[in-house]
Amino acid sequence: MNATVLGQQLVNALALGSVYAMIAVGLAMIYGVLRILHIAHAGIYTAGAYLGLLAFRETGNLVIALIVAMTAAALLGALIERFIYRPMLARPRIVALIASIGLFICLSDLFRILAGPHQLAFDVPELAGRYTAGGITVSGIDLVILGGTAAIFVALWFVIRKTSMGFAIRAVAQDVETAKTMGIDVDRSVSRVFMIGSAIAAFGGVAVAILYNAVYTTMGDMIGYKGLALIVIGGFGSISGAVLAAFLLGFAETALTTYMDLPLSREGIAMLMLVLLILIRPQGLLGKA
Amino acid sequence: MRASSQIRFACHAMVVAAGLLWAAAPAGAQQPIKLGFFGPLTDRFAALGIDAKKGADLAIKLANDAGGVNGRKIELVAYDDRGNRTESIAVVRKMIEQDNVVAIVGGSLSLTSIASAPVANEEKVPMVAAYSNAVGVVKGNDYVFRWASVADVQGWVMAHHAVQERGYKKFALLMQDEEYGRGIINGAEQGLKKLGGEVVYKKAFPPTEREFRAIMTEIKALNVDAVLMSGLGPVLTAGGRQGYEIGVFPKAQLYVGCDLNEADWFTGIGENGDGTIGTLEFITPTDNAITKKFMADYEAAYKEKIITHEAGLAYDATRLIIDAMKRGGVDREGIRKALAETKSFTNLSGVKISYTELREPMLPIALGRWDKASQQIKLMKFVEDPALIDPRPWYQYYK
Amino acid sequence: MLDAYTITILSLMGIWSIVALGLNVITGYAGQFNLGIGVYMGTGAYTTAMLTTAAGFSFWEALPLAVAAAALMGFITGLPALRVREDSLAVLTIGMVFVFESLLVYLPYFGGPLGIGRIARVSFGGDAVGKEGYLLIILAALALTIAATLYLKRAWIGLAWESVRENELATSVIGIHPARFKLYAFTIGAAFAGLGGVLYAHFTRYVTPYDFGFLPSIYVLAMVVLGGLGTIRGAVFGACFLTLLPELFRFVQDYRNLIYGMALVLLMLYEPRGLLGDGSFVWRHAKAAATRLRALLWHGRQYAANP
Repeated sequence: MNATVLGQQLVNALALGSVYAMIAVGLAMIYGVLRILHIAHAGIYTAGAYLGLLAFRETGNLVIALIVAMTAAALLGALIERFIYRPMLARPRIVALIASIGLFICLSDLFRILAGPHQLAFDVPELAGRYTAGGITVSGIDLVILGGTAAIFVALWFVIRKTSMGFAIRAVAQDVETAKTMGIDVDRSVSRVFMIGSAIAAFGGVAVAILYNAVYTTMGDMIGYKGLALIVIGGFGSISGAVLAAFLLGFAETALTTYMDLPLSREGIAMLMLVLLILIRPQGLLGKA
Repeated sequence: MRASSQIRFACHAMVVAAGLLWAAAPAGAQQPIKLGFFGPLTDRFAALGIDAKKGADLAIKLANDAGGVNGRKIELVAYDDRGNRTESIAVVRKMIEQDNVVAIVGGSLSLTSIASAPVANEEKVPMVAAYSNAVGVVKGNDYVFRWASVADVQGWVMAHHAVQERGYKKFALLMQDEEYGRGIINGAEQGLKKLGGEVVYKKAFPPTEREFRAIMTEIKALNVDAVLMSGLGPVLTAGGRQGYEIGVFPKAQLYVGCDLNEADWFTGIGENGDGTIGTLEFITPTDNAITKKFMADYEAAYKEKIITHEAGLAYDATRLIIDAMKRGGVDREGIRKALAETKSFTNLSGVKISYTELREPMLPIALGRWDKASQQIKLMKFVEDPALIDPRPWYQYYK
Repeated sequence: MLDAYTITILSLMGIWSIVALGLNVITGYAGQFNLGIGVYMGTGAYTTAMLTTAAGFSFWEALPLAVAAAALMGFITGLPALRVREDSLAVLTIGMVFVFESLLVYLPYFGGPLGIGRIARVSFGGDAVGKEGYLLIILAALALTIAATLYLKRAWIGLAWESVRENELATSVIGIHPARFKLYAFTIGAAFAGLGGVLYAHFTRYVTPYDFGFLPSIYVLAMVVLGGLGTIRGAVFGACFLTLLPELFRFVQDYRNLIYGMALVLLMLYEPRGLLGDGSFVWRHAKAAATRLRALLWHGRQYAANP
């Protein structure tokens, strides 16, 4: 193994980690405020990809496509929160979980019915360009993913830490009752969390669709389950923990699939990591004991 | 009053009698022949089953337009199994018992067909599995036939072409880890061992995999002559594309299995993939008149130019069953006999094909080359050497 | 005489009912989230598949061993589950079922992705059992499972589970070790699911890793919750209903999964206790009707005695 290969694998791992981070961050935020495992988040990610593709085919402009996908996904997320999760919050935890699974099944089938069973291509010629430096190849979409992730996380950090909206979200995540007594509109904060998380997932969906040149009904499945694993590994509800776990997983998968002959698939590795980590550190990487 | 009521009664009786006669007359001679079909028409594998059904539907429509079998029309009784094994067992029982089908076209995945083929066998209903490559579907089931190659044959043909005709020496193998992908790579490995090709890299991945950059990066550093890859359409497309982007191909030659001929490759490979070689069970387009007519019929029926692997094989499998009905009579036992005795059946690529005693066809493999400029698979040649395409030697690997 | 298709559907209903009853013990009675029931079902199915094909065991010899293997798997996976709760447990069990499926695919002993085929038909007293006979065996196993569940629920262990489920902290204060009873639940539930797995293996006579993965697992969870979590009638009804649903909705072939998903969402919105759960609309009215009927009968008898 030489330095070039290592460098290339580093880029690959970073891109993969970014993709995981984009789905995990929404899940972590949503868990933070509502304490629900939002499995249907993977459906929103897929919806983002389909909507982005639709908008891109209509306009031929990727920026517009991204805006359409993110806005529509935000709306979808808010609707799901308002009409499905909100009435369930007082009920046992398993109720929202089952509803989420049902919703995910519905969404997947809806994509198939509306867009057909075949995988669709998401070809963006402007991003197909490759840049080679010192033997390491980076494609245009890699740059969009890495840059987009960085931009999104800086913006997210700013919103959560420096704005009143972010303050409200943090307060709700800490303790709903206290937040209420402080005069914070809890419902609005929760709704915003869903919108932000869903928009980020939609960005991830579009980016991955371009990366693999593929939009298909089950594209969210594995990444969705891994996302759940990531928020547990990161420490429930901890955004930075989930992001850290996402990048660790990106590196672990890249390293383990290539440099070790484990009798497991990438999925198996991710899930094994999850099982072991929960056993060693039930509270997660950055969770409080 | 009385007379009029008698007349009315007579009129009614006549109408009823005429109706009965009209209904009864065709019932004896003209009732359609029921042919069963099952496959994943919804859920995650829907693309495969729907394409297979298109092929079967077209074969039946053309046969009916040409007068059916001895004047009787054929009707396809199609059920969705969602790619679910227990559901495929249920629907195969249903079509046998409730619909009374005389034969079955299997339009389903290998794993579902493996579960339901024994059901058809027990009930003594002949079944032709259209595109599943797993040995277990056919082996041991006297009423079950295959219309596809055994996966291992494809790998063997790849290895043979790469070593004997191209003189390649160093190989990387990429295996989709399920029965079909394993079969191809098993055939390739055995072949390379025999012919003296060196395998310097081998990796397995699940059918859901889309991320091949880490693997391709490694392969690039190894400077192999060829990469042999097995997998479903989306997987091959992702692997091929990323391999080109990272620069493994076209320096190394990419060989893939029959799923080169999937909509995913046509829509997804884009600017990449030029020169990729696939081992196909039939090929479109060719210069053959039969193929040209089929392609025209298909486009007229579905407004689609791409004839996927599933559609083409299911089309031929259905035609084969109809052909067997004509030869052996429209009953289950007659169809089975006629299927087993099939000699020189012309497939849609215009090649004549016979059955072996294992109910596996001696199916010539078409080597096809992806041509970027025309966005088509070009025929390189048909491999018809029995030493290469015989499915029988591969049975030893499957208990 | 029933036709083979009907027998097939009835057999599947019976098998899934047994598996659902297993999950009902873990999640319904003891309140432990489990999205990976496939692990136990698969352990039972693979054990019998391997014993009857490779080792030459008969179904009846393999059955107790396979159920024991599943119970052992329940015990082993129950141990880590003691460290986490609720959502963490849910995700942990998802992880487990993926690792389980992955191992079955990748370890050579289990037949790889093709699984294990040519599993023997069940024979009884030297004769191969037909489809009807096998349905009877399934129904007998179901009856046994229901009887065992009823017994457990009414015994001391059932009360302990209830208190663990309702308030774990208080339970430990009154001297019950929650950990021990959680482990009992995992072990017993896994044994039931393993029994279902054994019957499944000899029904399809072919097992693959994908039969016991995540999706089948949540399918069972949906059965239990849809019918009514923590009730026997709910688990059985949910299993029968979800097995029948895709067959009933064949006429809208293209929308079957959509209907399934929507049914789950709507039910959780409007009847979160499950269709037949305690306190659900149907069950309340059924109980009220039964009370009225009893009263009516009593009056009738009174009237008959003293007209």
